[in-house]
Amino acid sequence: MRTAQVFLGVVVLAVVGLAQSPAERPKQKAEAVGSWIGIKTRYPTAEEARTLALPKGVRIQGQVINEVAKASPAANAGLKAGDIVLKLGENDLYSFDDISDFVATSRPGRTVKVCVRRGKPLKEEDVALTIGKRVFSDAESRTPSFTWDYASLAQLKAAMERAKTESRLVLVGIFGAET
Amino acid sequence: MVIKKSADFIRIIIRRPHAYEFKRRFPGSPIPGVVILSVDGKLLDSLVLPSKNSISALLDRLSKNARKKKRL
Repeated sequence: MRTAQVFLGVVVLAVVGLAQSPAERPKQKAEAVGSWIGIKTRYPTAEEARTLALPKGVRIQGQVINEVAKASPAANAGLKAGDIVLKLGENDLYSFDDISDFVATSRPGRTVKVCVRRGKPLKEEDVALTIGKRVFSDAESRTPSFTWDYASLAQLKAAMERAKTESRLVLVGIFGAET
Repeated sequence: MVIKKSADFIRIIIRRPHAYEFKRRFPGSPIPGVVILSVDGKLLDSLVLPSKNSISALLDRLSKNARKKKRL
C-alpha cells in the first residue's frame, strides 16, 4: 500500500508589484499561484477492489482517500477519509499522479464533478468540488520549467480543438505513474 | 517537422493505463515518450523519452539546433 503526499499543483507564476517602476518598487518576493484540493490518497488493495467492486482493466480504477486537509477544497466538498475517488471531471483515476495532473491543469475557482464511492451500504455519488488557490512565497523553487495544459486521455479532444482554434501543434507526453 | 519551443505547443500528459488506449489510437507511440500531433490528429513525429522532466530541455535544444541550421 503506497501513500502519496498532499500535493500542490503549481500552475502559474505571478510576480507582484509590476505597476510600479523598478526604481520605486520595494523589494518583493516573487510568488507562485497554484491549484490544490488537499487530499492524500493511496491505491486500493486487492480486497478493497473486490468488495467495493471497483472497475478493473489493466489497473484498478480509484484512489482511496487517506486524509483530507482541514478547511481544504476537498473538506468543503464533503470528501472524507475512506472515500474512493473514481473520477475527477471526465478523468478516470488510476494513481495519485492522475489527481495531481488534473489539479495542476485546472484553474483555481473551477468547479468539477467528483465521482465518489462511499458508505454503508455502498453508494456512488457525484460531489461538486471547487479547485482552491494556494500562494507559494518561494516562487523560484516551485516554478516548473515545463507545464501541461491538459491531463489524461479524456481531455485529448479538448486539447485538439484548442490546437485547431489556435493553429498550434499538440505535444503529448506519455508516461507511467510515478506514485 | 519544424521544431518549436515548448510554449508553442498545446501540451497534454497521458499516463498509464490511459497511455495504452492512446497507443491503440496512434500506433507507433512510444511509452514512455513524446508524440507530436497535427491539428487534424495525424501523428507527425515521436520520440522515446525516459522522463517527463527531460521534455523542456529537449525541445529547447532541438529548437536551438533548428535555428542554427537555418543560419548556416
